[in-house]
Amino acid sequence: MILGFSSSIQKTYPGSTFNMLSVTVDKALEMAHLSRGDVDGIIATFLPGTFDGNLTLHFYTGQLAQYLGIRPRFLDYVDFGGASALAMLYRAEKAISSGDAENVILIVGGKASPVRERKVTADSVDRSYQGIRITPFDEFFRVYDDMNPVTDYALVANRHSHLFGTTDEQRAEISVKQRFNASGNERAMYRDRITVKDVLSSRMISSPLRLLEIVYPVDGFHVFVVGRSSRNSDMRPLRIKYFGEAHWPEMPPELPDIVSTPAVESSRGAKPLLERVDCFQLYDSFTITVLLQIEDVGLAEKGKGGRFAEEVDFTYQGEIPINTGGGSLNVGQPAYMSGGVILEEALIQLNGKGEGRQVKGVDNVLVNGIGGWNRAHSTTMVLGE
Amino acid sequence: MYEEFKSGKIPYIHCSCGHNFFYPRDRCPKCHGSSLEVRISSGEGTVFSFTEFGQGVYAIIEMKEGFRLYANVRGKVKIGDKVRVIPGNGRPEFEKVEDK
Repeated sequence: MILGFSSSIQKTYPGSTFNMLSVTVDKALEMAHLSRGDVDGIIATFLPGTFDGNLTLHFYTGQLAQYLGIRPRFLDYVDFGGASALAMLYRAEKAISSGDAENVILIVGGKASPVRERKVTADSVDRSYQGIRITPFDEFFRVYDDMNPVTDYALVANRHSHLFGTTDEQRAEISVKQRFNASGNERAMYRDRITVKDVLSSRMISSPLRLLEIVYPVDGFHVFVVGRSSRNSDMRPLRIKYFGEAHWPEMPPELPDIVSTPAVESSRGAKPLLERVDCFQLYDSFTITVLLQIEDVGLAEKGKGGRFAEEVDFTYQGEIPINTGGGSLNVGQPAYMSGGVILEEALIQLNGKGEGRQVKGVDNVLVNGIGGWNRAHSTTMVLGE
Repeated sequence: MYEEFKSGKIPYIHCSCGHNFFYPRDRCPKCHGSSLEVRISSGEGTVFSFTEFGQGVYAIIEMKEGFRLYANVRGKVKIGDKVRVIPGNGRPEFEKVEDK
C-alpha cells in the first residue's frame, strides 16, 4: 500500500542532488508516519548526467542507501525511463507481499540542469561526454543528426498526421487543456492560460513540434513510500487493480509503424476497467505522446486521437479528465522522466487533495508511463481501493 | 562501414528467409535464422517520416529493398518523396529525386 509520497521540484536546484533527495525522502516518510529506520527497501531509477552531473554513480542503489542511512534487505533498480515509477510500485508491492521487505521507498528524479546546461538531453548525453554508449548500434545510429527524444517524437507526429490527417491545432488542444488544469495546481511551473494560437505561434523546435508542446526538464525528486500496513497513514488504502508492462526494444525504423507505443500491449488487460476509471494520467513528454496514449489505452480508435483532443473536454471539469494537474508539460519534467509526476497526481486525485483541480468522486485512476530510448517501454496501472 | 557511407553506399543484411534489415545482428529478427549475407542497397528509397530542426532534416527512409533506417537529408522533403543516397561525410545522407 502507498503510505506516503512527496515531491521537490525546482527549475534549478543550487545544491547537491543528494540534499534534494534527502529532503524529499523525509517529507514522504512524514506523510507515512515512518522514520528512515523503518525503511528496509529501496527501488530507484536514474538517467545519465542527472545525479550531480555524473554519468553513473557506482552501484547506484547501494550508494543511495548509504547516504540515506538505510540498511536495506531489498534493493532494486528499474531502468525504463518514464515508465519506471509504475514498474517500481508494482515491484515494491510484490516484494512486500512476499515478505522480502516491510517498507520500501521508490526514488524517481534527479537534477536535469547539469544536462540541460550542456544543451543536450539525457537521451543524447553522448553528444557531450566521451565513452558512453546509448544504443547497441551507436556506430550506425549516432552518426546521424538527431536530438532524441524530441526528433523521435517529431518523426512520430509527422507520420501520424500523414496517415490520419491529424492537425497541429489538434495537438495544440492538448497543451491548452492541460494548461487549464495546471492553472488550478499550485505546484505547476506554468499556470497562465494559453490558446491554440499561442501554441502554434511558439517557436518550432523539431517540426512539427513547437515549444509549448514539449516538457521542460527540471531538477526534482518524487519519493513514494510503500508498506505492508496502512494503519498509521492518512491516505486511502489503495491497491493496484491492474498492472501491465510491455517492452518494444526494436529501433523504431524496424517497427511495423511508428504511430503506436507499447501502451497498446501494457494496457490491454485494463480495458474492462476503463468504464470505471474517473481520471487518466497519461505520460506527457510531448503533446503527441498524450495523443498516442489516448489511442493506445483505448479512449479513441487508432488515428482518432486528434479528433478526441479537439472534441472531448478532458480538463478536470470535463467528461474524461486527463492530466488533471497539468502534467509534466506544466509541472516540468524532473531529470527527464515524468513517471513521478503522473503517479503523484493520481494519488492526489484519489485522496481528494486536488485543490483547484480536483475531479469529483475519484475512485479509480488509470496511469500510463512511457519511457526508455525511443519510447521502448510502457507501464499501465489502475489504482483504486 | 563509414567508408561505404562516404562513397554513398548503404550495406544491409539479407536473410535467406527473404527479410532484409539494416541494424547489424547475427540472427534475423524475423525468423531467428543465421543464414545471413551482407548486400549493398540500390540506394533508392522513400521518406517514411522526417523532421526539420536546428541541425537540418532528419528522417526515416524506407529503402527499395524493404528495410528502413535513420538518415540525414539534404534539402527539404515530405513523406512519400523519392530519395536517393549521396556520398556523405561518413554517414548516410539522402537527397530528393526530382520528378521530370
